[in-house]
Amino acid sequence: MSAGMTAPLLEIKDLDIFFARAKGGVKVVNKLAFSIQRGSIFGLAGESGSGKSLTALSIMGILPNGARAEGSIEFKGSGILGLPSEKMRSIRGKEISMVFQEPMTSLNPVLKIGYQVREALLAHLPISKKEAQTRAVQLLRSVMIPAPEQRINDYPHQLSGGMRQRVMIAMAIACNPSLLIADEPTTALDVTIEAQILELIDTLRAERDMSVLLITHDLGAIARHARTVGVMYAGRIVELAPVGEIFSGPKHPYTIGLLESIPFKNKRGMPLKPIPGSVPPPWGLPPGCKFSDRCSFKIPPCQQAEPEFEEITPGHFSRCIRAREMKWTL
Amino acid sequence: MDPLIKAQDLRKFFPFRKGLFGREMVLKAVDGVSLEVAENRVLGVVGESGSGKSTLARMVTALDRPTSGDVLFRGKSVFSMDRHELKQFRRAVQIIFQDPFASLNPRATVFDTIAEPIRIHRLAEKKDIEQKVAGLLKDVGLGMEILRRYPHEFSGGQRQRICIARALAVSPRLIVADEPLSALDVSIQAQILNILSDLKKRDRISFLFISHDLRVVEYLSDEVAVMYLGKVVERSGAEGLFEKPLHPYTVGLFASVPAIKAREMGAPFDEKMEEKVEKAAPKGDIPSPIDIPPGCPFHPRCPKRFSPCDKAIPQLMEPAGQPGRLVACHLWN
Repeated sequence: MSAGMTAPLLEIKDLDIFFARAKGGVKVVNKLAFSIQRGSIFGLAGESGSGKSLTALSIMGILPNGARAEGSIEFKGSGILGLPSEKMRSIRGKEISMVFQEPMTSLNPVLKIGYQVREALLAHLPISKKEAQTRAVQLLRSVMIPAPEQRINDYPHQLSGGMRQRVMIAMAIACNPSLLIADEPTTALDVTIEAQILELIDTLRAERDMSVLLITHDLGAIARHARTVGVMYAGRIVELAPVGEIFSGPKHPYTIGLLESIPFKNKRGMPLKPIPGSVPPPWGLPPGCKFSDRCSFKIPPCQQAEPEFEEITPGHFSRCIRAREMKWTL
Repeated sequence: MDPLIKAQDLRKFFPFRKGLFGREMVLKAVDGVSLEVAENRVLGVVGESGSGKSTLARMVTALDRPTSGDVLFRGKSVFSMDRHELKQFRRAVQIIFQDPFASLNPRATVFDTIAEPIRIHRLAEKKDIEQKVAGLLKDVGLGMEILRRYPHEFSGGQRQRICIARALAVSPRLIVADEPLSALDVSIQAQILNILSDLKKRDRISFLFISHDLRVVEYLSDEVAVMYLGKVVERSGAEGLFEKPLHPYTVGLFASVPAIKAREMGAPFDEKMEEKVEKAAPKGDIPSPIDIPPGCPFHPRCPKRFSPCDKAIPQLMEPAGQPGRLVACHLWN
């Protein structure tokens, strides 16, 4: 982003994602741009349908059928968008890996977890089965699964939700990836378990100098763990800033609306001021600023042209023509 | 005066057998829960999965019979009511579920969905029903134009509004809301939360509000019960509880909320503080409700456990010097 920084691990520029439809395509992600620094957590926030997960899938090269990405995704300085599938296969799971929301459905129910972790190792590393077994135990230990020598023979249904998510994380970090994508990794989990899993991801990041793309709708998780945050709305990043700044001085009405929706302590007994309406479908977006139809700061020019993604203060970007007037604080 | 609803020492056990010839086991979903909701009050119930929150909701609304214990509505046991009394009870006590996709009939229009309880309880003349339904929709922020539409045409937030309108159709005194927000996006949650808190103010409706979201519970509740593995471990006025939780589980639960916490209290971002908060979060897994630890159910995860904790079950009682509060913990008894 700003000059003087070391080259980012991942850099996304002008990323568009389309879905083919009967009447022409629908653009669901639009001119997306952000970068992730080495060893840091980038939080991608936004509500359902904002394009967070599609962005993740496009980095992994596993967009669903009918979806197509254009633009540039650079990983360690070279483009990975549109790589032939054999090439991408040597990156996916090895250099970049992913943890999904549902630990129940992302493990194979008929295979022992030890087998599944070994498989993640053997797919990419030239090691023997025996060596893989030893490493699998180490991996389960590093994600703090108690008694890994015994647990390795368990089937997924014998584990709790939190333990299954730990197994997923063990598989994801098996080949020491430089980038871990965690897509709503704690949404299906209980509060106390959620805290443990996020803490684990943060610890592994620090130990392994790994970067993390943390996708979540939970601003609390981002406040606690991310270094930089991007807020997505209708397929666009509308605000991007260092994490301290987004909570102390948000510069986009959508971010302000999200924060206003949280029933903080000091709001007790007072009505909340949520964003009116709901997210429009990608084919029903208003002209100009895509948030203008729900925005309480709207002025006539908002509906004429889509605002530029402007740097308001160093490192703090907003896609709002009135960004400099925003004085909101928590 | 009798409280609006009172649960007395409710238990719900589900016996089952592991495998065909396995020994008989018992899942203790709710194990000795007592609580009351007074007129125009909100009792929040918080707890994680397996704590028995939803089973409790089903017993309080007489959808399930307890294994033992009783539910009293204005002093009268709901499980010994005759048909007529039970119908009155069903009118006075409504429930809203978590999943608005599963709790609406996909083949009924919005009008039919909301008009049905009005017809059953004969609350309006036939010619006035449509007007009444329109009024109810307006209360939840929806317009007349959707009357002939079907549930699949709506988003989760709109469906939850329809569910609320259906519950309001019979002018209930108590609404049991079982995780009504957890399937919704943050900004939609806030919209629904505003509707519920308006209903409390305007119609003086009481709520038994079940949620795992502590912020939401704090915002809406007058009193809070904290559940863990089928038992209430702490009960208190909301302000006192959130100000100073007494039970180590409550302390841990609060610490686990990945909070914008330091900032919520107006402090600048402070990494040390965040770390300190993190340390208090409970370690380990929630035990399964079929295999509840002996003594205090929380003791295996409790940072403060001492000798009696794995032997004796602590009773819910008022700790010395903490009037009006109840806690089930050996530290305080």
